[in-house]
Amino acid sequence: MESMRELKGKNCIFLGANDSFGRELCKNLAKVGLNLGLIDFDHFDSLNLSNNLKNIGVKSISATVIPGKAISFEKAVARIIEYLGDLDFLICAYYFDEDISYENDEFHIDKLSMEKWDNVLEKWAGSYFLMIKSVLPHMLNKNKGKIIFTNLTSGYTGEGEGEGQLSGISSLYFSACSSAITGTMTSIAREIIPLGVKVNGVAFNPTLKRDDDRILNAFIFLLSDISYYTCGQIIRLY
Amino acid sequence: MLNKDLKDYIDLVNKGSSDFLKKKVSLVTGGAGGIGTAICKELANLGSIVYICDIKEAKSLANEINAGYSDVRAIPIKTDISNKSEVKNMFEQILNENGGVDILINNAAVYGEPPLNFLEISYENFKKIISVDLSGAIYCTIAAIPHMIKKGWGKIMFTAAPLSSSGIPAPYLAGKSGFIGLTKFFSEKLKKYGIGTFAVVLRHIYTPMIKKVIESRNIDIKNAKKDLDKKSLTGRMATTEEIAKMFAYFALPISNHMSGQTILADGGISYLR
Ligand SMILES: NC(=O)c1ccc[n+]([C@@H]2O[C@H](COP(=O)([O-])OP(=O)(O)OC[C@H]3O[C@@H](n4cnc5c(N)ncnc54)[C@H](O)[C@@H]3O)[C@@H](O)[C@H]2O)c1
Repeated sequence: MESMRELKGKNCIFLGANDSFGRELCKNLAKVGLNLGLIDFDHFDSLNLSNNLKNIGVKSISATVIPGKAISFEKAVARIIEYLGDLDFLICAYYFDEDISYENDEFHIDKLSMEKWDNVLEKWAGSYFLMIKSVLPHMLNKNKGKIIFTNLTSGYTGEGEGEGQLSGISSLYFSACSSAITGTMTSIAREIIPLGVKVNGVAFNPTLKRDDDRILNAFIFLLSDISYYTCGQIIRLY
Repeated sequence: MLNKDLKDYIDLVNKGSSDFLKKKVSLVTGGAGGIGTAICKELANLGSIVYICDIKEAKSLANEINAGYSDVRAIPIKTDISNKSEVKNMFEQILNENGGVDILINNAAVYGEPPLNFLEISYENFKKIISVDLSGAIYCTIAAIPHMIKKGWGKIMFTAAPLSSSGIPAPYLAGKSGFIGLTKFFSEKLKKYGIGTFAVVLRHIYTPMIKKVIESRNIDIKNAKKDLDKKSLTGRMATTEEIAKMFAYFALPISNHMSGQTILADGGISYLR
């Protein structure tokens, strides 16, 4: 496919490489030929993943960041760009999959926690903010770049699945943070798209299978120039 | 035959006041601000005890409201909603004084101090604004839910804004749009307890906040007001009293059958986009 050839050799920073979804997507993007700088909060799996990606035949490096600490994001980005030599894309795909208000799949309203909310907000929306802040000077310097962020469809539906279907999955934290990310990114997109940096998003249904083909298809569409005029949009994968 | 709630509501619209919310306790965050003041007055007029929660002093507003009634309807409660322990104390106080909150209106927000554009805003400023505009409402809602579950009834509302609002800073829009996910999420989880959730989505209402937004853009206030009036299909911005009536509708039992609704009250501006 033309769009896949176009992506070969492009350089991408990927936030959220440690969870099962991030790992799967990184492997698929490497197969398409993207060089990847992997960022997460710890080195738990990204070192292994980075070695696996090199075996696929692309450049790869991993770095860690500390939630809420701007300097750690700036340093990680600088190190990755130095290694990759250039930067074309940023993918912010951090995803929380534990919710302390659920116990054995049962939702407990009395377990909602203010502290947990603070934690999700800082790790998720906060890291997207700091990640974009750190890559933006590099992208603006070259007047090019594409940013893709992910959130969950529960930000629109309050729920796990398509509108009207009550799966009972999702949480206060996912719903609120996903829709807050939509607002944050909409505002950022309006400001930076005219400066040459494209911003779009992909929203997942939390029950989406990690190997669902639609995930890679959505990313390839948004990373390639087929979507040149697609700006500030969020593709919802129900 | 009209159902009783509907008949009462029509009476209310005709007469302008009622005791519908007589034994109900409301908490309005940002209650001393432009829209908040109008909501507090409206709910007090419906008979509710209204806690005016604001980071600024609201004693004179409470006195002004109470002067119109023989009983005490407005109680100022100075609280910074971005501070978790202040929020917990506020709910504790309301529980001790009046048995807990029935109606929570998450209305407080700050637009933030410049620079607010993404290229210049600091992470600290981003966090500070979100901590009021989104986290503050989440703290209040988490604290209010046990009160409402105990009572078997409750209403939770949010003052939101449309995503399509142009040129709105990221942290402010994060809060306003975060409310849309929250309204949906809580409607599903809380309906079984008799609790309804609503977001009233506003665009331009002439209040101190919109004046600040206009000033921050260095535009002449009179011309800006005219422009904003013209943008609306109705030919003018909504008044705070009109918006307060919408909140009152969702506070009343007549809306018990509704929940999870995001109502756009923007004079048709979004329709034109
Ligand atoms: N005015 C508009 O055009 C408009 C449009 C869309 C949405 N809104 C929303 O309506 C709501 C009310 O706005 P307004 O126009 O009346 O603004 P306002 O500035 O007059 O009122 C906001 C109030 O919130 C209070 N507040 C700020 N920080 C607080 C904190 N940490 N703890 C407690 N109280 C705090 C302020 O002191 C103020 O009294 C806000 O949520 C705003 O985002 C307003």
